[in-house]
Amino acid sequence: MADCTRSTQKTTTQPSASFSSMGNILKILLSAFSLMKQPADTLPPPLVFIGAKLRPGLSARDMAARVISRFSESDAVNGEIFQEGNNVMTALEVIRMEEIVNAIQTEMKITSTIDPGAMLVQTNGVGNLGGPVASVGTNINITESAGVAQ
Amino acid sequence: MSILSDKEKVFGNISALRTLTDDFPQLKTNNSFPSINNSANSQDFLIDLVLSLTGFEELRDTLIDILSYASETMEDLVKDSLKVELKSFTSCGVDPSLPAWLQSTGSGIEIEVKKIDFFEVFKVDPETQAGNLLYEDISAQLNSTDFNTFLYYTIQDAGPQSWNNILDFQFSQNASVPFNTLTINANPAYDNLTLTQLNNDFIDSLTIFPSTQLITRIIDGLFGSVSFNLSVNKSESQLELEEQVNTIIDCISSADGDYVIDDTYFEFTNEQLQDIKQRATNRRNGIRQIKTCGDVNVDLPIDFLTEIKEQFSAATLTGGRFEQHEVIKDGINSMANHVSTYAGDPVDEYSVQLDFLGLMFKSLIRAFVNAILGPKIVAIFVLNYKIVYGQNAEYTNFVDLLKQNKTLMLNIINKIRDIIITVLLQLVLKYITKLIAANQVEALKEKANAQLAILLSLVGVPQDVIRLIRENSPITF
Repeated sequence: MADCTRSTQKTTTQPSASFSSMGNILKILLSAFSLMKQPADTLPPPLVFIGAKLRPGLSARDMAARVISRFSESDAVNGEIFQEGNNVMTALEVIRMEEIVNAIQTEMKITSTIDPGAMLVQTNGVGNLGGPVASVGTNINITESAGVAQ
Repeated sequence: MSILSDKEKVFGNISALRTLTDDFPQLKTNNSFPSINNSANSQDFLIDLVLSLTGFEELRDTLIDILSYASETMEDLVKDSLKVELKSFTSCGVDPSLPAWLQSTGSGIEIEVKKIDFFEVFKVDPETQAGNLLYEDISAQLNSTDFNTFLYYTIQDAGPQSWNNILDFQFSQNASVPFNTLTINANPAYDNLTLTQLNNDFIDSLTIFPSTQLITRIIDGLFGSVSFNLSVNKSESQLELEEQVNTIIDCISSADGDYVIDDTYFEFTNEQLQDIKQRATNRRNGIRQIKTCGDVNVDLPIDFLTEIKEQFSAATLTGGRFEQHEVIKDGINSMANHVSTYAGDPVDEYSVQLDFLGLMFKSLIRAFVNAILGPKIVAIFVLNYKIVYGQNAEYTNFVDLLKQNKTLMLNIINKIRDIIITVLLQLVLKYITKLIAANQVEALKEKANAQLAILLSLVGVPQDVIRLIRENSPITF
């Protein structure tokens, strides 16, 4: 059907858009999609303290290999295995992973904060006639910090 | 932000949720939905959303709910609206008592039948197959509870006839112009009552939206099934007039709530006139073009409507709402099956059935408003029109009458639109909520699995082993 090419002059005497107006319908529908999300669970700090040191680190080759091996799950073309060289998709995947890993490793910055009071520094010393006391402190608890990747 | 981008965002969100959630069929290509544009027609947009979210059965049952249950609510609302509008129409500077010329002893209103029967209902004999679809309670003739049936037999009868002792009608063939006129007077019982009381009682005495007539109007509007029938055989010019009215209804119902409905809504562009002519020609030929691989001409014989009407009448006598619901369901199923046989490829049959239901939905507002614009309501409206503008006041044609009373039209169309939109919006929100809930469950599973994977990695479990655990976990990743 041909579209209505009517006056779109807005009234100044009637109240604003009715319930059925497109603006209201879209507002109702879009608000249905905006749900609050729960914050992620915190990892146990001692486990991170120990476990993080055991991690192998990022490998673009490993990541690309895993993605390529799962191509069939999305019906993506996996390459001609009897043909020499890579096909475009697999080659692209390797490049993508290399760039992602490179950016994370060489460009990412993490800004972190530690909750006030989370780190306890204990010092023991005896003052000598009111003179300055040099002390060295260390945090004795493993604590967590929140960080934002940039 | 434009309407188009907001619409795309809604479809995009649904598409994303469906892709990420199992057990929901995948959304068709977004661009295939005709309502994804800057149009403010909320009904068409919601129908496209419903088409993308639900299956045939759910859509059909919602349509039946509107045709049977919501139409009762709509009837009450429209009647209230008509009473209010008629009261405000006549209250400004008009004596509330009936004018002497309208009272039972006065000359009454003389009006040509064609000026209250814009859809040419009275040209169809109630005893014919098509007539059986356009009239109710036919066997009672002058004692019928259907005003149209009463008026048809009044036209066949020489003497004056009274409709529920509210208004008296007398038909005259006349030897000279104007031919075929009806003289309308108030019944003696109303001589000393107010115009408002007469209006209200008359409106209360009517049944405006019988379910089967709504289906008939929808199908006739889409396929010309009744207009094409030999006993009706509407002319091309008549069908063009009807399509002009439908275009006005579409444009008013598509207008956003705070737009001024001015006279431009009652005028047509060249493109619209071409479209009106095309639709009128198709209805005259009893066909509609549906899109499959190419355009196919589809007919929907009147027999489908007759069967629904007969079975519905039987179900009304012997059963209750459930039986009526089942009759309409079977009728819509068989019509959808018939239309889908034109699909060509069996793969397309389901989408043709869905499109058929979408078309029925999109014709709902037209069907309801057309029912209001029938002789039942126009008769009382013309009576008020003559009281306000004078006994000899005339309007040139149907479109002119609508234009002169656009506030009434706007209010009634908006009321009908609001009810249909409410039902559609509830359905859309129900399915969106289901999708969101399913997606939330998936998101929680994903989060729990990610936590597990991180913990395993922190205690030195290799990636391949974690993957193996994930793949064999009872909770899918």
